[in-house]
Amino acid sequence: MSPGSSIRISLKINGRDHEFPATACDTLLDVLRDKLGMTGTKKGCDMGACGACTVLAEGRRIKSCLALAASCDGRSITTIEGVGGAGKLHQLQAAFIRHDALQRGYCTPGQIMSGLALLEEKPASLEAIREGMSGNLCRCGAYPNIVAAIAEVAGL
Amino acid sequence: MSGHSFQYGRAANIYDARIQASKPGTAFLAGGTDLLQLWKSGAMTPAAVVDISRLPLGDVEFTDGQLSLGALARLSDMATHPDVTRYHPLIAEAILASASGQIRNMATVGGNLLQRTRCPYFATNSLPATKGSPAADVARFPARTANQLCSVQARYASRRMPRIWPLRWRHLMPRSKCSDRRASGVSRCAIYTGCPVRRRSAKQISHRETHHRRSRAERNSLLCLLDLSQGSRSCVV
Repeated sequence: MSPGSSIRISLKINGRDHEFPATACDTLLDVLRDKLGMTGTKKGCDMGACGACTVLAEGRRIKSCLALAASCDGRSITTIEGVGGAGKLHQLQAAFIRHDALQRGYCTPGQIMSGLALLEEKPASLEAIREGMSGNLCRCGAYPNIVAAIAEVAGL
Repeated sequence: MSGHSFQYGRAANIYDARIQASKPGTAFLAGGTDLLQLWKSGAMTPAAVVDISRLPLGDVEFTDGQLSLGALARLSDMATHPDVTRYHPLIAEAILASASGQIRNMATVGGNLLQRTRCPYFATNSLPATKGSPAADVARFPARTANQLCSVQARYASRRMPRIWPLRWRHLMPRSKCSDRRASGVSRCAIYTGCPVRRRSAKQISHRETHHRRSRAERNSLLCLLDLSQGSRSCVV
């Protein structure tokens, strides 16, 4: 596939099948936001450090800014748009609100997606949550409340 | 975001991967956590990438005292594998202190060994004079250390398949020199901790002499498997 040429990519995103053209260099983050209009996933550093771009690929949290869309062809992706529903929050989203785990909110979709995956790993302590969430930065400093929200859902 | 564009191809099998990689300027793409960062910063400008992420090289097996790590095994899978945690706990511990959960789900053990030097001074195209000097890199940045020595053999797919290149993982003390200077057939990797430049205690598995190992391995050899032999020892100082 040549640099400028287009290829058809198929992704199952939040349970729905999508097929769209992309180039070799498009990242998963770029196609989610620019081609599919799913702007819930944010672009922060675009270098794999901040975690704002976190999505689930086959149930595993990944940084979509470091994933080529072509490499994800055929995969099942879950974004923040697929968490909760209209008028019905996921329990982690509700916990984030109860614990005031956000200020600006730009990192929050990534925090939620990363937190959902961490909950599947069953963290055993607050320290394990802090360590497990180390891939998600929050410039507003809501870390204690983010940890508390995840801890509440984890039953700690 | 890099302005440089590249071609994309996916390898159907190991042989296809090597054929695609034989074209000048082609890079292997596994997890992509190293390649894409370097590409975006402009430090790497591949003409093409060959995606090997779906090749069946990700198995982790422990048989007769030998741990075999498929080069495409994800770091997260390695760190939580019962045989790794039981027989090589320091490797699991080092992995879990590396990067982040998201990166560990993407990164592969082979890609981790083959990644470029992680120090940010080297991951840029604005400081060309500092490249290619791993010893200077270690001497410049003191770090808290854990001392581990284990014997690792790497199997590469090459024209004369398979070839086994022994790798020795050694943790380098700050400003110390590696005492093992055997060069023939030996390539060295190091596990070091606590780079003060990043001001974090994350432990990183990093390849220290990529230029040496690449000069030994044939061009477009594909790292397939790592064998950790019984008798590996580890201690913390």
